[in-house]
Formats: sequence, C-alpha cells, structure tokens
Amino acid sequence: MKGTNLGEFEEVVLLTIASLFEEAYSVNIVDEIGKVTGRKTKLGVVHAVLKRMEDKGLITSELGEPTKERGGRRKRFFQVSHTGKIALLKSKEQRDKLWSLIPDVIFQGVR
Amino acid sequence: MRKMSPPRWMDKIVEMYCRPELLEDLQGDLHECYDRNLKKGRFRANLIFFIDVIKFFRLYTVRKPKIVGQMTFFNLFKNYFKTSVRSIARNKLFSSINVVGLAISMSVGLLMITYLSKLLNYDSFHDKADRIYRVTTTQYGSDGTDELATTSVFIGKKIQEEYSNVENIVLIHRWYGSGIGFSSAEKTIRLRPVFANEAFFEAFSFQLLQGNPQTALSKPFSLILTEANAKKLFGEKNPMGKVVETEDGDFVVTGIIENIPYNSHMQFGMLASFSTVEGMWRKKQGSFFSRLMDWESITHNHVYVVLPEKNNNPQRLQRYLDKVAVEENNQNSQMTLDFSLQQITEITPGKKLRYQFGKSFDRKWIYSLVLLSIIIIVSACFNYTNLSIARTLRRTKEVGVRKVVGASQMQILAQFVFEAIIISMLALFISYGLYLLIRPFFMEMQSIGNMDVPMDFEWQHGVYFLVLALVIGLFAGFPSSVLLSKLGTSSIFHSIPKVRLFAGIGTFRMLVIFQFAIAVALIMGTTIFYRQYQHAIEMELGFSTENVVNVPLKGNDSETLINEFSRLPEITNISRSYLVPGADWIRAKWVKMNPDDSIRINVNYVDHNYQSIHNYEFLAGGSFSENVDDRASQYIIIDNELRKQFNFSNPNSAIGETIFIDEDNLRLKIVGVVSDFQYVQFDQGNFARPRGIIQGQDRNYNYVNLHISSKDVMSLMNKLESIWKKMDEIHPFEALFYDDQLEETYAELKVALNILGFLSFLSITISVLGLLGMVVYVTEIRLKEISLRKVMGASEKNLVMTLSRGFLLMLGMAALIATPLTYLLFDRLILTNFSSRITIGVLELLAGFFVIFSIGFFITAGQTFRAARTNPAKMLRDE
Repeated sequence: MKGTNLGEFEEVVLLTIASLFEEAYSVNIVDEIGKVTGRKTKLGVVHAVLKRMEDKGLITSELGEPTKERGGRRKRFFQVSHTGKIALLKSKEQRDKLWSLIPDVIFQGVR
Repeated sequence: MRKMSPPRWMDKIVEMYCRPELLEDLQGDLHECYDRNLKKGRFRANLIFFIDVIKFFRLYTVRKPKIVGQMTFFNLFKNYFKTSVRSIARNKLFSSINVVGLAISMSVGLLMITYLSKLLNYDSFHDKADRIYRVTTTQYGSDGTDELATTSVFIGKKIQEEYSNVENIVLIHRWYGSGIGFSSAEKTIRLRPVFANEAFFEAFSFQLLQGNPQTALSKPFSLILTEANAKKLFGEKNPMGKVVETEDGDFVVTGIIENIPYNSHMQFGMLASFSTVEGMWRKKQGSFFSRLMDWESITHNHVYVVLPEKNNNPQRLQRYLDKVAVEENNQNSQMTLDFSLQQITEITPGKKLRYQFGKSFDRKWIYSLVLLSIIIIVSACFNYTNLSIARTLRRTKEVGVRKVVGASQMQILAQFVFEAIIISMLALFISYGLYLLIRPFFMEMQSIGNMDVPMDFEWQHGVYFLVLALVIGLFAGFPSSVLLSKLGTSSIFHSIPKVRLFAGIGTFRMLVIFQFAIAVALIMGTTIFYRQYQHAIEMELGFSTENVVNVPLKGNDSETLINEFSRLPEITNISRSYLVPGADWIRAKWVKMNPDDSIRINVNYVDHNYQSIHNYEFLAGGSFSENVDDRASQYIIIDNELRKQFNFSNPNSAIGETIFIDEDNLRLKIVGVVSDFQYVQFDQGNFARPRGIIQGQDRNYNYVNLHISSKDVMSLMNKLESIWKKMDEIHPFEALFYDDQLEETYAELKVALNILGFLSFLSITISVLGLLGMVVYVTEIRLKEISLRKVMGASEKNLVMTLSRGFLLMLGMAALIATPLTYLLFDRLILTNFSSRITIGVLELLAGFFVIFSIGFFITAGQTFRAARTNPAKMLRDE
C-alpha cells in the first residue's frame, strides 16, 4: 500500500531525527544530513518533508524555548513517533533481508 | 555591536502569506540561516534570505484567504451582493427600467464629463497662469455698450511707462480677414498676421522649438512660425534664418514655436515682432495704420499684463486703469471707454466678448449644458426612488426578518444603498456603450458652431466615470433605503394597505409631476427654438438672395476679375461689395446730418450694380445711377430706421439730403430709402443698428457678387475656378451661395437646437420608462380590485378610466406647471436676445403637453386595458 513504505529522502530525514535525539530541529537536521551523508539539502525541501511526515504521523513536534540567535523565536523540535519507529524498523528489516540474499561474489572487487 | 537582521520588508512578506501556526518556526529558521550567511557578506545573506522567502511560498505554508478579522465584514457584503443580485433578477422589469433609465442619463453625464474636463482645462498650461491678466475694453456708445476682448496699444504702453508694479507687458497686434500670403522659395501659404513684443515668451509658456526666446521677437521683420506651418513652407529643410516674402515686406525666420495646443485661448499660425508693425505705422502716415497707436484704436490689439509673484494685486492695477480711463475720456469726446482685467484662465470659457483671439465659449452655454444634464440625471434617479418606494411592500418581510435576526438600521440602509450602487454600476457599463455611440454625434454637433473641443479619453475620465456612478447610486438609492431601514420588526405583520400608505404616495406624485414637467418644458423649448430657427432662415430679408453667389476677392483686383467673369453666358449680372450683409462681419460708422448729430450705423460699400442683383425694396428714390464713378463715394441709400432717426417725416423728404461721415471726410447724398433690412442675430445689440449702403470704393471691395442663371452649377463653378486660377495661383477659389452663407450664420442656433432636441428626447424616454414601471406596478397590486369590480358589473371602459385617471391627472398637473414657466423663460429671457424673434403661439405652448399626454395616455391605457381584460375568475380563484 502506498504510504506505508518510506521514501528514500524521508528515511534519511527520519534517521537523522532519530540520531539527533533531542536536538532535532530543521536547521540542525539540514546540517546533520550534510555532515553525515555529504548531501547538500535545502532548508525548504527539508521543511516540506518534515511537514509531510508530521501529517502522516511519522514524527511529532513541539516548540522549545525562545533562543536569542533566532530573534527570540522558538524552535520546533521533532521526534520520531511510534509509527515512525515501526516504519524505520520495517524498512531496515526489508533491506537486511535483501542483503542477506545477495551472494558475496557480487561485491568482489568493489569493496 | 548591533545584531544584523534581514530587511524588515522581507519579513513582512513571510508574515503576510504564512499560516500563523507555522510562522514562528519558519521565520526562526530563516533568521538562523541568515545569521550564518552573514559571514558571506550582508548582500549575499540578504539575497539568499529573499530567495528562501520566495521558495517557502508553498501550498502548505500559505494561509487560506479567510482572514478572521475581516470575515464578518466581507461575508456581509457577500450576502448583500447575493440578495441584491437576486432581487434584481427577480424583478426583471423594474430592474431593467432602472438600469436603462440610469444608463441613458449617465451617458449624458459621461459626455459632459469628457467635454467639461477638456473645456475647463483652457490655458492652465501657462506657468504664470495665476498672474497673467488680459486688459479688456468696454465701449459706451449712444446705441449701447460693446464689450471687447481687445484694447489699445496706447493703454499697454501707458501701463509700461507709468505703472511700476508689473513683471511684463505683452503687446499683441492682430490683422483680421483672410490673412496675407507668406512665401518661401517653394510655396506660399496664407496666414493671419499676429505681432507680439519680446515679453511674449517670458509671459506665456509656449515652447520655442528653435530660436532664442529672448531675441526671436526683437528685430523688425522677425518671424516665428508654428511647427506645422514651417513644415508647410519649407518641408524637411531647416527654416531658421530663411527669408519669407510677403506683400508687406520680407521676414526672416528667427524661431519655430510648437503647434498651439487646443486648450490655448489664443490661436495663431505665426508670430512676427511687434517692432515690425510699429515701423509700418510710422511709414504709412495718414492712413488707417497711423492711427493704431491712438486711444480710440481698440479693435486690433491685445494687452496682457504679468504681475510680479510677490505683489500679485490686480485690484491696484484695476484702480490705475480706472483713473486713466477717466482722464482720457475727458480729453476724447467721441468715445467713452472703460478697462477691466481678466485672468488668463477666465478667458475661455468666459464672458462673451467681441474680437476674441481664437475660440471662445460663453460661460452661460456651459452652465446651461451642465444644468440640463443634471436635470436629466436627477430625473432618472427619481425613477429609481419611485420604483423602489413603490416596491417597499414586497421587501417589508425581508427587512423584518433581518431586523429580528439582529441587523441594525445602519446595516439595512447599507444593504439597500449597496443594491442601488450595483444597479448604477450595471448602468455605467451600458452607458459607456451608449456614450461611445453618441460621442461622434455630439462632436459633429458642436463642430457646426465651430466650438469643437477634442474629446479623447484620458485615464482620469475613468475615475470620474466611476465616481459619477457611485454618486448616482447613492443619490438614487438613499431615499428609498432610509424608508426601508426605518421599518420596524413588526412590519412583517402589517396588513398590506397600511404599508402602502406609509410608502409616501405624496412624494411619489411630486417626483412624477416634476419629471414630466421637465419633459414638457424641454419639448416646448425645442419646439420654440425650432420655430425661431425656421423663422431665421426663412425670413424675408427685404432683398433677394436667390441665385446670388459671393466670391471673396482675397486681395485681387475686382475689375480684371469682373471682365473675365462677365464673358461667361451663365452669369447674368455682376456687382461688388465690401461685405455680405447678414452673413458677414459688420462695419460701423458715426454719421451726422447736423454738427451735433451722432448716430452709429452699419455700413456696406457697394458698386452701382449692386442694387440690380439684390433688388432692395425702395420706399422712396432709387438706386445709384449707372454712370457714376465708383472710385469715389458720393451717394448713400439708407434704411427706413435711419430715416426715422434723422427725423424725416416720410421717406420722400429724405431724398437729396446730405449726410457726413467725419472720420473718412465723406459727404454722401441720399438717393434712396429702403425698407428695414430684416435678419436674425443672437447678438442683437450691434446688428440691429440702422443701415446705410454707400456707393463707391472708399474701402476696397472684398466680394464679387454674381447673379447666375445656370442650372448646371457644378460646371459653372469649374469654369469660374479655372478663370480664378489664371489670375491668382496662391489663393484657393471660393464661391458661396448667399442662401448657404445665411444658413451658416445660424449654425450656433442649430447646435443649440440639436442638443436641446436630443436632451428632450432622452428626458421623455426616462420619464416614460418611469411611468411605465409605476403603471405596471399599480395595476398589478390592484388586479384583485379590478377583478372584483368587474364581477360587480363594471365595464372595461369604466375600469380603464378609473385606473388611468390618477396618472393622467398627474400629467395634467405637470403640464400646468411647466407650460407657463417655460413660456415666461423663453418670452422674457431667451427670445429677447434675438434681433428678430417669433411670438410664441398656441402650437408651441401645447406641443409639450400634447406629446407627453398622448404618450402617457397610450401607456396607462394600454396597461390598464390589459388588466381590465383579465378573467376575474382566474384572479379570484386562489382565495
């Protein structure tokens, strides 16, 4: 069924949120993705994805304390919801399954 | 250090579009990024911030166009709009009567707006318009006063010498007539000479395209041409410094002036230096020119005074002019003069003066146009008021329910006014179409009287149009809306008759009577004007104009032309004259018989053949003898009026007497007395003077008068033209039938007639539409009553009588009010301006009444008859 599987970028964002634990907010997420994967993402894109995933129920958000650097505006912190966690696990499971089926011969010479 | 932040307006954009629940977070993110980007420089940071702001404009961030604060307001209007449209759609007949009536009247309004916005714009382009004044002259004579746009050079020079507090004095000298020929190496064009001194360009804001404004008019025989005329004379070549030849001397082109804009009261094709004409005066000692510097020479010159900015005090200058007038009047016995100042923007439209320097519009003309269009518009507004008051009944329930639900009186008022505005906006659409249709006719109409003003659309007009529609909507909708909004909640429960009583039938009657009174007055006015016009063109002049063709000589020698023309067999007789009476300008002279006489008469100079063509009716004596020498003036024919003024007991006793014209040293023997020359002029004062026909060539003849017998006018004209071309290569040939010339004189009358006719047609249409609406409405409510009466035994004839009686009574009242008022207006005020006027007869008096009554009767009878014919069973069945 459509929507039960995570999109590639969604998965990356979701993983990043999980890895940032309690510090996951939009700008930080963009930075982290850049740092870990080397992908340059735009804030607008991440924003849209976050909004979409929140609507789907994969993540939850709450506003933090006002900070000076943002002109007194509060940050919106994200956390992976229960559904999100299940989706991530499911995705990992599928991949692991597929990985286990690949004969080692195939990657000879690439690694 | 102050913290750097992105430009505020960029933040504003985000705040504008972003949903409030997302705003804080999103804006925070943007600011954080901005802070980081500051490292790359402020400009780049701003740029990135801006791009991001645009990029975040996405479906999920943008708020829906529902704004909580404005919602009730907006919804209310949405609701008003909906109910208005529904109510308009439900009452198709009433709505269309309203829309059409308003549209018709509004198209007149639009026409007036475009016309007036152009007209009131005259001379506003001069930078110093607020302190340029023209000196005008009032001349008091024994036969009344004469107001002139011109004045004497004398007074201009006097101000210059004696009165210190002026910035500039512009002296202008002007020649009349058809002008003189100006020739370049290639071409000759005919222009009316206008001379001005150096101050001209300092005072007025005309643009000099080439040449130096300070010096272009200083040397004698300097010439400035308008762009268009320079092109005509020199084509694409540069005209500067070139020589232009005329019969009065050779000019050098020292400047090119922009083409004179339409909204300048002074119109000219060329300007020459004032010093040119001063030189000419000195040379031509003893002639007409030598006297142009005199106190009395008030017909060929304009004087404009520019007062200084700091001391713009025209009253003081006026007092000075009064003082000069008193001093000089004491020294000069023949003429009493007075001077006044006229601000440049007050010239056109302005007072009616003689010798205007271009087009002029009488203020009265504009006032009457505005008044008439306002009357038409108000009349259409009354339709709206009447019909909506009449329909109050149908909407009481709506108002009651709204009030119960909690609407305030103001809100109800707003709703109904809003509805009226919607109707007037609809009408605006239609009226714009109508306006485009009638504009060409209007322009044609005004061009007949040579008062055309361009009427192109400008964007401001769009604004004026909208404002007009709004004002009309408010005005039309307000009275009925006030009535409706005052209805109480209990009005729902009122029985029908009570509400109708409340609806103010009295006011309604008054409005209808007013409307029809206007229509009656306009129809009467048009008929009277038409009769006066007919009277003017069909009047017995006292001499014959049939088959007389006048050829302007344009400075050619009359003898040679007559020799050539007389060879043509189609021409039975030829004479020469100074002017064409009735169709031309007038020339006035002081005449006397005894030293202490002083009578002002209009004169014409003719040759001995003149009488045989024009066949004046002689009361005594006869025409000039055949073998008199036409080079000297010796004889005169006078009219009966002059005979009376000289106190001769009968025409015969005047024959053989001598009269004197001192200013020209003429002794003239009276050879004949003719009956008074009759023709109509709107400006009666000067044209109604006694007349004298002087034999001889004291003035050069301007016309050759041909009496023709040919039926084939076209071929004759061609022959005449080919003869003319042999003699005069420069000037185009012109020949005018006397009858046509006379008709042209009445062009102004014709314009007024056309416009009045048009407006009265509109006024009738509007009032008839209103009447139709009311009749339909009243018969509709009374259908049951009619049915009952019919059941009781009333005949159809009886019913029609009962139903239409009320309306016809109102029409009668309207006629009764309008007829005497219009009669008085025309009899006492308007017709008295004509030198020969009609007496208002029974036909004119009854015309308006008859037209309105028959149309009104047709409508009421038609509608009521239909109602009376309905089957009573059908109407009564439902109860």
